[in-house]
Amino acid sequence: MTTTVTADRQASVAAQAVELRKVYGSGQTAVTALAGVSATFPAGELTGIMGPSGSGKSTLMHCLAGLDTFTSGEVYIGGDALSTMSDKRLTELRRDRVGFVFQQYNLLPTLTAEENITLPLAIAGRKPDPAWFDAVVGAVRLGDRLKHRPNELSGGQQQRLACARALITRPAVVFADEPTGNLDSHSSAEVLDFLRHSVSDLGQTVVMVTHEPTAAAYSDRVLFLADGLIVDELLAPTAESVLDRMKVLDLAAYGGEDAAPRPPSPAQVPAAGV
Amino acid sequence: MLRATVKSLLARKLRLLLSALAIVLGVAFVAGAFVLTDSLGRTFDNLFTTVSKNIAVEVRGTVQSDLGSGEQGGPGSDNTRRNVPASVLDKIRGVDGVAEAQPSVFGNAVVVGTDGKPVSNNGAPNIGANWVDSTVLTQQRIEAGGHPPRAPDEIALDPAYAERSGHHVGDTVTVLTTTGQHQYRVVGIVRYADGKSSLGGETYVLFTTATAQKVLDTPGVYTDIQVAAADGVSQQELRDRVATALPGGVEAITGQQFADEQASDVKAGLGFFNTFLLVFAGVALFVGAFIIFNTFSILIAQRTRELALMRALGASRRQVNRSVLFESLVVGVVASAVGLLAGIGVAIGLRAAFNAIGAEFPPGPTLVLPRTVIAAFAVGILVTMAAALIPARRAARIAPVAAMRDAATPDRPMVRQTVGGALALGVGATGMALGLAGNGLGIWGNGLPVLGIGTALAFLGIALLSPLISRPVSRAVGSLFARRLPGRLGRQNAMRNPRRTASTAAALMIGLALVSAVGVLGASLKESIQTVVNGALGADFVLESQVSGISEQTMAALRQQRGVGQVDGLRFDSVAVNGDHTGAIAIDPAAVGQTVALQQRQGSVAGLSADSVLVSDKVVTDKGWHVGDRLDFAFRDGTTAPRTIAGTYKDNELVGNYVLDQSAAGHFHDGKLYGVALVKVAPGADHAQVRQALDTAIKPYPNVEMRDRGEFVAEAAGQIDTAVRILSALLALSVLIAVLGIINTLALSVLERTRELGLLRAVGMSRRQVKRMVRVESVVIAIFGGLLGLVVGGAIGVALQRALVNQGVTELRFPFGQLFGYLVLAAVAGVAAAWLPARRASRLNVLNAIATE
Repeated sequence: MTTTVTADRQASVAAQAVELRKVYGSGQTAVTALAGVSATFPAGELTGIMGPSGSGKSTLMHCLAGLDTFTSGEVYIGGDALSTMSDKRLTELRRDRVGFVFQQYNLLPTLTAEENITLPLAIAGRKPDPAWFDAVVGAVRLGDRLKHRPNELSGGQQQRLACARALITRPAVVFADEPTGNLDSHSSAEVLDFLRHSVSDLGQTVVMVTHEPTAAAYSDRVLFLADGLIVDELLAPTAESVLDRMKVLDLAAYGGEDAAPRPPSPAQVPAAGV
Repeated sequence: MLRATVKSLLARKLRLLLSALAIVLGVAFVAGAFVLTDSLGRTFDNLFTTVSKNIAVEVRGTVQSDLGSGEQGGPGSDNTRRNVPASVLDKIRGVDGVAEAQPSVFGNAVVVGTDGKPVSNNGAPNIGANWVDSTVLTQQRIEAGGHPPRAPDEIALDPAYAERSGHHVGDTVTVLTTTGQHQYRVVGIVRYADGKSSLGGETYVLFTTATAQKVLDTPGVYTDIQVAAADGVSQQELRDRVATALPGGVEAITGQQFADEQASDVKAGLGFFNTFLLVFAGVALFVGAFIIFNTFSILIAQRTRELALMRALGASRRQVNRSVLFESLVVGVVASAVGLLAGIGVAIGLRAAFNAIGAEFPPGPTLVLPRTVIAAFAVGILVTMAAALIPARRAARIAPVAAMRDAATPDRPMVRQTVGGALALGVGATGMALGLAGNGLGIWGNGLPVLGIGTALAFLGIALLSPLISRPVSRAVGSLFARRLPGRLGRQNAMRNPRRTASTAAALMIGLALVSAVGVLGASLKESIQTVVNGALGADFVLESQVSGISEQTMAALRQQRGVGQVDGLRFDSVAVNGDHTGAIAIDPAAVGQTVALQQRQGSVAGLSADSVLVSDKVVTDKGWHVGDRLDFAFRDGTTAPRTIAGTYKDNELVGNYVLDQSAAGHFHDGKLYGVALVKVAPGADHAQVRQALDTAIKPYPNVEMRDRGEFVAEAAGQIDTAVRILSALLALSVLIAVLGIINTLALSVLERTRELGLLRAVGMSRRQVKRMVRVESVVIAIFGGLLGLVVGGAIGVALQRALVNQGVTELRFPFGQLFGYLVLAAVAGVAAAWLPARRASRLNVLNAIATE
């Protein structure tokens, strides 16, 4: 089933997927990773994407970010359609308009923290805006570690460093793929705090793929994927409401087709889980 | 364990390909050298046996070992042999069992071409001989349409020579011999019975026997006599019988011995050639060892987890060590096999190439002796396994717990390597010094093996020490490219593993150091010649002769020309001084200070007279002589005479060690002819005009070549340049292997840094920028290697020059332009080496690269 989820805000759209399909292989061995996903990511929001393994959430993010090609449909980053872009333009897009935080191996070991933060700018041959640089560095609280190498920083510090790098170009949207996957709870909280802060106070847009309900709870909105389709949406999530929703979806997945619930309309979504 | 090893080897065979290729090239060189020289040796064996197949006994003069004991030996041989008196021929014909006996007269003869100059033959011998009238004792036959020479003015030519000189049967030609030049009529074309023009490129001018004796300066004697046996008489039997009929001073050997002797002369020459080639093959393999070492080191580092897992699962250290060594064994065996085949192909190809450029090697088998096969495998396997020894040990030391965590391997301390490197360098440099001084350490006859081993050790030492300067040098070199980020990252990548960078660069250093040393030595040699000539030559023109000497007639013609100031002739010959065999020249004392410049040291060089001699400084110092001492001279005509030392002069390569006055020339062999004529232009005369006049004057004398000072030096310089070029070409293989090593290291490093590359691409680095990053890393490594090579090569060049100062390399010169050119070449090699790894890096699938485990 295809569902279109729209926000009725008047804010601009940072990124958008329209009827996105991704099929690997062909004929007998064809695997459909995305079966026609449409989603809009308004500017100034932290959106979470969740789903069981194999749901296509990472694939969705890779397609949205210009890291992977898609079979049909369209992706817009701030109004530019990705399907028309050459590899060169996609590379430039990733450099200037998109930020990334991966689960691990975000940083170049030969560069200092400061050099890692300004890496996308250095690739473009530009210098950072000093005020923005200070703001970002201050927000991740790494001001005293700028001259250190990544191997001299803790896991949490490395991830915060990666977040700072993701923001340095003031991108249209930041994609974070399981950013807290390798971190302990304290470091996770720090990273998520920063992502939240960047959205609420610094005006960024973040799309975060995660499997942890506590992480998802930092979002303004959570999209649930299953079998390559968006099957649910949750506004103003809490850890518990997310867990509950996931339980329902899991049962549906394992319980067979007739047990699948119809996606609820926004009006019906309870404000807080029971 | 074995199975696991083999499987993991197969999985990574691509990674081992380039390093195996390095060994293949080195082994191919070794195998090719052996196959080529063995094949040529066998070819000449067959050749000489065929040519003299009917000769049962060869009769010739005995070797003259004492100086001045009478008759001269035949030209064209190293040992001077006596000639055979004509009377011996009849005696031999009377011996029972002799079917036939024919005399042979051998010498040098050159046809003068239609342009008035001797027809050149690319250095092969120009044989003048008599026509041997026998179908049994010679394999040469006259072509139909002609007849053998019967009259004194008739000659026969070999077809290739006739063609080159543009003559046919019926033409009149001028032939130049040691006794002068005469005109003859070509009456026949002579070839070997199998149709070939010559055995190996030599030319033939055949006279009648009487003419040959006259013209080749052997009146009344023969060079040798060939004897055929009657049926049923063996060679040895006939030889013994003939020997009893011979007078003193004449000997007889069997035909087979004769053929063997000739073949072994050729094979001795081939042996030198073989050793020469093997030295360069050795250099190539030495560099190949570096490549193997690097590859295995990198692969072991990349396989840390895999190997740690083996250890965790219970494999012992020894098993891990053995498994790595086994991998190197497999690589060695495969590479040796391929190299052997490649070498055989190279030998076949080289032979074809030589023939194409006119070397005319006779056809023959391609000989792959067991020795070649064993050598190929032994060398290939040994080098590969030796290079893998240390990486294997390192693999065995991996702790099992490294399988569980992703710990970064801490930098091993450099102390041991530094000490080892300093030691190797010290011992190596000492070895080089000893070798250059000719010290064979009591094991070898000369210093060359010591020099070779010392050089290898020194290179090893420098390679071990080079990581110490790897970072600062990389930083400095990389600063050329560090303006923008990709270049900066490339430089950093070159800096981040100093050992690996230094090791890769060291391979390039070896080749470039040797090429630079050769260049420095060549330039120094050229400069020295220039200095020597300027210091020793007072003349403006140097005239040298081919085949025969410069006659008094020619000298008179020179003196007659307008503008000519002074003309002096030099004559050279072997003499014995106080019993020691050496050489001396005879000149007119008036030449001293005019055409011949001697820098006086002691006594008076102007004081040369009929009873005095001038001696060079170094000989006087060596022997402890003084001015006024008496020296006993013995000449080739048997006379002796005492001379007192009138003065000494600074060492002079042109003039030699002993200068006598012209009366001594009366005792010289061919004393009436001058070896060299020197012409000095009269003050105020026009140089160009005089030159023209002299050119006209020597036209009737085709054996004379004239050069002015500049041309004289340029000719020698040209020969040195050619030698440098050949040596550099032989070393090029080593440089090529080193470049393969750079490609290898880069490719493996790119593989290692997949995640980083993925990250960079994800964050927006373009493909072009990624390529640039890899290219900069490659160029930094290459320039590092180049700089090291130039410095080390320069040092070796200086050492060589110092060691050879007494052998004529008096000046030291650095060919800066050439050396800079080599550095540029290194940089270009770096760019070229990066092409493939950079492409692969830029084509990386970003998603796969950033996928988490």
